[in-house]
Amino acid sequence: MKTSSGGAGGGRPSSSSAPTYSWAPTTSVSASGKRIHREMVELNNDPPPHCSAGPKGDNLYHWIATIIGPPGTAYQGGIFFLDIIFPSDYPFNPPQVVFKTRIYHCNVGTDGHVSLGMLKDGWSPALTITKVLTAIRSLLTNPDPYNAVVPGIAHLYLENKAKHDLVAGEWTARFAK
Amino acid sequence: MGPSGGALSAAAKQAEQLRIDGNAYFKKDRFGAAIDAYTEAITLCPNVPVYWTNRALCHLKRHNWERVEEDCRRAIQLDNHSVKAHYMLGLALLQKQEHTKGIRELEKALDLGRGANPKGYMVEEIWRELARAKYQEWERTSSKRSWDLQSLKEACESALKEKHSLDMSHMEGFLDDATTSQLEQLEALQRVFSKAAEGDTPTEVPDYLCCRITLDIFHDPVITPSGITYERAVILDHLQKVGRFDPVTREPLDPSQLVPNLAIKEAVQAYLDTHGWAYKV
Repeated sequence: MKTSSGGAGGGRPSSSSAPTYSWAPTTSVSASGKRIHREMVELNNDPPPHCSAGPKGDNLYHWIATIIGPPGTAYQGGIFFLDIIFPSDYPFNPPQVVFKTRIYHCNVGTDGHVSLGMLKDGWSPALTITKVLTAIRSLLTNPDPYNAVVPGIAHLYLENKAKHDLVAGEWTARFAK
Repeated sequence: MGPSGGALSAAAKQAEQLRIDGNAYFKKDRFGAAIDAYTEAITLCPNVPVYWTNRALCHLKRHNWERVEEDCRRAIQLDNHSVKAHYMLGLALLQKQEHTKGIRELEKALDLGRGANPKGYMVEEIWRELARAKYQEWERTSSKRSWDLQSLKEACESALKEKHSLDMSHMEGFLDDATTSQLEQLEALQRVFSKAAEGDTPTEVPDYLCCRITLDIFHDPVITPSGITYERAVILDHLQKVGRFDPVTREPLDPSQLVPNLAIKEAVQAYLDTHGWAYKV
């Protein structure tokens, strides 16, 4: 088999020949683009509740998303914008998700980075942007102070939730409305 | 394998060297020189299918489809299981507008590729070409089908209306009833015809026929011990790049545990047979 597959066809997609027909063995670069495109179509057809997402401009790998603060929380009524950057080997690596709207939350760093297991070691290619946004929204309802990136906020959340919610509500009114 | 005689094995050695030379020329895009080398190899050892498929690929690069077809047919005579020979023959036949035969060769190549060693050999590429040909076929046939259906529908509608006005002239008094029943019949007719057009109306492929990673309809489905089905090429990529676990259940997973999911493969085929638009890539 080795000898035969090493034949003329065995040529790697040797860039120079820009082949119409290459024997590239597995997924191509455009596989990530295809998958992102499918997610986009799916999001348009069946958007998750209180979220939206889509490409920022012509670049399929750079999205913008919104999450509406869940009712009954300090974030209620706020509209939070997020940037989503897909890696070129998506979905084998997680997307990068960053809050562009300032938010008072123990799991969102001062630079806006969301600290979520799903976006790190917990990533799996079977996850989608819909699932990520849903998870972030439920993080707004239930912050995870034991895996916080802003210890001060986590501390206040555990010690004095009423005060925490007051500050978070003020931030929501100031930055997200 | 070679019979007795040093002469034969010397020829075989020489032919093998010519193939290696041909491959080197091919990589430099020197297709003419590569064709010469493979031709010499074929003269020395005409029964080695790879020499024929390699030369066919050079002809393919030069869009010399007749020669592609000739060489592939020879290769298939020598080895009916050659994925490349069936694949390139299929492409050549499609170029000749022999759609049905071309598609048949691509299907054969796809089937062989799924079972080949390494598993899933060339499957994505063959799928792409097959899907393109099938989609074009669907476009050709479905527009005729929709047209036929539309004219039949119009004929039925006007027949119904005619019947209605005929009834009206006979009956007096029950005009409202007759009008309602005619409207109902027209609506029922509408439903029947939209039902008949369903297969040719592009919608979304059902989730159970799509891979959870590619979100695309399965080409070469394999199932894990957790019972989840994935696209073979992509789950192999995942196991290599991300980690040895099932992406949905996170159970440990080794490439050797992947098994072809023949039931899903057939379900996909049955779906595609009646929903040709789903071939769209």
